[in-house]
Amino acid sequence: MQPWGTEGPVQAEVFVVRLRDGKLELTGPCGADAWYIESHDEDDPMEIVKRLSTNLIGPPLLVHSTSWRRGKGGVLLSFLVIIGEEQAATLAGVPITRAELARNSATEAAKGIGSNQVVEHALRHMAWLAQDDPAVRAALSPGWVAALAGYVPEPFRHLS
Amino acid sequence: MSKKGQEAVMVVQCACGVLMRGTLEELVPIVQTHARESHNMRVSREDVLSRARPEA
Repeated sequence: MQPWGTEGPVQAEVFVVRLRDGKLELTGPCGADAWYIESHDEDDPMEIVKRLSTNLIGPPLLVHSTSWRRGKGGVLLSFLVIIGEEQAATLAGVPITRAELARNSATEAAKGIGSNQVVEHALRHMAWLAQDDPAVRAALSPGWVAALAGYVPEPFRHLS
Repeated sequence: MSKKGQEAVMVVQCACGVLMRGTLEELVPIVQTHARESHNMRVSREDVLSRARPEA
């Protein structure tokens, strides 16, 4: 509920992704748009994202923070929440399209970062984790691994 | 006419798209619950009142 602004030092920007018919799609309580969740001083952002996701759309298969950047009033910590193929079936999904990453120079920030660029990086990061992290690899179905095959693996990074 | 019938119906639209409606007394807890359960936000009664608009 952004109109009141960021209260905590961190605001989680959550992208809920589901594999459906072999294609990745954005879904969630805010549709295909990013879902914003406040994280207060006493909160663990990971725990808050997992808890609210579980409460609103059921237990996620995987929750992972994939990047961060400066936002209004604080830090925006981007999360990918992966849910099952048949989970939250009543929530509409929008197919994910590929995007160029918002690259910057060695000393200057990118001028603007679109949500599709954040999602592009998040999926590249997931492609990296699928190779590097046994827990992530175990959580992803063969269909997910196939869907990530076209993404260049990237580690967690600062976007901006 | 009932008391409720005399009170204006107000709306608050969250940035996430959720539209909440009711009399002011109804709307305040509705918005506070949505803010807490969907966004982990603490929204005061004054915040809700400042955002409420008459239903079109």
